[in-house]
Amino acid sequence: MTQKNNFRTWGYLLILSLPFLLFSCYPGGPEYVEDMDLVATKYDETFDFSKVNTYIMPDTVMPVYDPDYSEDADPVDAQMQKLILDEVEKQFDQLGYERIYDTINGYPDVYVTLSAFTSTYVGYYYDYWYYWWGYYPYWPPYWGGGYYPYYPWGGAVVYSYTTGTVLIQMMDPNHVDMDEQKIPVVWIGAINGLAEGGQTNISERIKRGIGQVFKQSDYL
Amino acid sequence: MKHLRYFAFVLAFFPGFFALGQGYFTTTYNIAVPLGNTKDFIDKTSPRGFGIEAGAWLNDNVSLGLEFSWNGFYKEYDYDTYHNIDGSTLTLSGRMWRYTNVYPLMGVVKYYLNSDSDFEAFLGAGLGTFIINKRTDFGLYTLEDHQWHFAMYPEVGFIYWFSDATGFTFNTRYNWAAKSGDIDAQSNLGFNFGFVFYSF
Repeated sequence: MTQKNNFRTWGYLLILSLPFLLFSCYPGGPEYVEDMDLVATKYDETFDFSKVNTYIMPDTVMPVYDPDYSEDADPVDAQMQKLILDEVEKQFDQLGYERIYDTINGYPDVYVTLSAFTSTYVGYYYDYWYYWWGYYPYWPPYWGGGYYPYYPWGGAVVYSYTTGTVLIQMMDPNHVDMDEQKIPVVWIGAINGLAEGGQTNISERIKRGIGQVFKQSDYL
Repeated sequence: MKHLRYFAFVLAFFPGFFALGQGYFTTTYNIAVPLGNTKDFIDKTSPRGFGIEAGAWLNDNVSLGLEFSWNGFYKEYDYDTYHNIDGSTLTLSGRMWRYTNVYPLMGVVKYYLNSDSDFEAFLGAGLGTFIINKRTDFGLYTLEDHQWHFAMYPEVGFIYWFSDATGFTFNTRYNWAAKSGDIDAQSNLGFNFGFVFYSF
């Protein structure tokens, strides 16, 4: 009887201790905000990047919005816009791309747009460039309002919930689909992470992310 | 938290074995060395695991039991760049974490070679299911798959009875689970040691 009781006592103690053991050895995971940062790039294999020498890039980073909630589309913070624009221009400079600011003396080889958003949804999206083609100076006159970017090489990268994303898109103005009113995107770079950690931290991570976008795109 | 749910589920069935009389209860700390596809995904030995088993002796040499255990494989990767994702031109950079949690729920039969001794060697086999959860965290994204697999293992081990009702036990098992859904066949070599309690 005594032995039986001993057995039960030990048994119950061990059973009770197992969950604690289990908790204590649970593996780790991301510890810092920057651990979750992700950089994604994708390009059109049929496009010859070696022939690109000039680009045009508006001085605006556009917000991206869900068409069902367009009232949520606030302008991107001015300081953040400047940081993104400066960093992207610096990277293109290092590649030897010449930035042009108007089309008086001819059109550039590619168009570059920048967008940013804090997303709370997954799926399709429009950015305000969709509406701006017709208004922004120096864009080809045949790009009226209503043209939208498309991805002839199989879709954009994925977006997720409650995250911050900076999007760099390069488009080919020489292969615009006039009938369908579509502009082929030949390269896309996305910097994605948690939009948390303070302004300085976020700025540093965005700069680092933009650097990585270009670093891993050695075909540019 | 899933393993706690499985643990509670299995625990609810265990008291039935004690009603059989000549029963036993085993708790072990489990280590597992990944093999095959498991190793291709995570090549690091798992020091995270436990097992509980309850059963009854049919005679001096043979016991039947039910076992539930857990092995957690885990590996974290430094920031790196991965090209040509899924054969496309997609390139991704970030940190990655991989997890494979294996929850065997098995019927166990054991044959004891020298049942009169304090040192009982045994051969055993398990047949049942492995519930396997594979997960990859990459940046903010998670890819996860969860399947029930047909599974089995042969095992060899011993019990050293240091009192009438309590013994130290060690066993090693080749754990194998068949392909199920999108998860390929999985295998590992388990080394489990702990205590056995004899129920009169």
